[in-house]
Amino acid sequence: MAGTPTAKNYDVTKMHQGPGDLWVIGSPPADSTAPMLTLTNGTPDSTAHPSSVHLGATNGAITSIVKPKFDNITVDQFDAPVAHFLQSIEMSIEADLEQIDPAIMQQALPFGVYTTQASPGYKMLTFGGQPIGTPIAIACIAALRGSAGLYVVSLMFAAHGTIGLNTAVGRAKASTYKAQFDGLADTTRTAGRQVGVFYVTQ
Amino acid sequence: MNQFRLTLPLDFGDGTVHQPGAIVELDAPTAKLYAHALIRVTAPLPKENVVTPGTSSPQRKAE
Repeated sequence: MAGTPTAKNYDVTKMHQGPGDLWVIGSPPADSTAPMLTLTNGTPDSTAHPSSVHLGATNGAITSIVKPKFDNITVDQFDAPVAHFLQSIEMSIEADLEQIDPAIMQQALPFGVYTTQASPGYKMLTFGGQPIGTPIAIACIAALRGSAGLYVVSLMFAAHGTIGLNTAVGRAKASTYKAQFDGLADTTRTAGRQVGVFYVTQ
Repeated sequence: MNQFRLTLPLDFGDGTVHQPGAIVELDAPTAKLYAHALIRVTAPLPKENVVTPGTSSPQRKAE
């Protein structure tokens, strides 16, 4: 008996490839059913998201991670778990940043104190004795491959840079430092969208 | 002079660490130097609630 086939989901236009940019979002989108960034030319709109900061060039890809921790419910009567529950969820965005600029680096080092002077010029981060700063919103924005004006975005509403500074200077390769931002639950937002959002415009 | 809220700890060269969340009043050249950690306050606060780096803080005045 001939049945009715189910369509396959092959769609090359949905296959993304291409670089993204890492941004600190000065004013994240309000809590709504679609908490999306207002973008202008692939950047946070300076009116909708004032004081956003671009974190410069990256070495390699920017990685967005949403990591659930599932636990099992097991009962003596069955050899396999009978249910799962979500114990916790962690979201993070990480990248190797290329630009050795304390003004950018401070975003990933929220316990550092920044000072600068125009002449004689320097930019400085000092460490020690400072509590962690207020959480910041972080976004990775990438232009969708082959689709002008469309973007792949991952956004965390409240995050801290958590892994400190580890960089090397040497002849063999350009210096980089790894930045990792770990998300927090913004408890003022609606349950289901308290940590972050991943979306593709279309 | 405009008012800004700090997003990260800053030392404006006055030897004082200004904490995130503090409201400071800065001239344009100084604000440009620290722009990565400042959000402009759209509804300015009364002067007594604002720190001008290099001068006494409101807390110190209260003391």
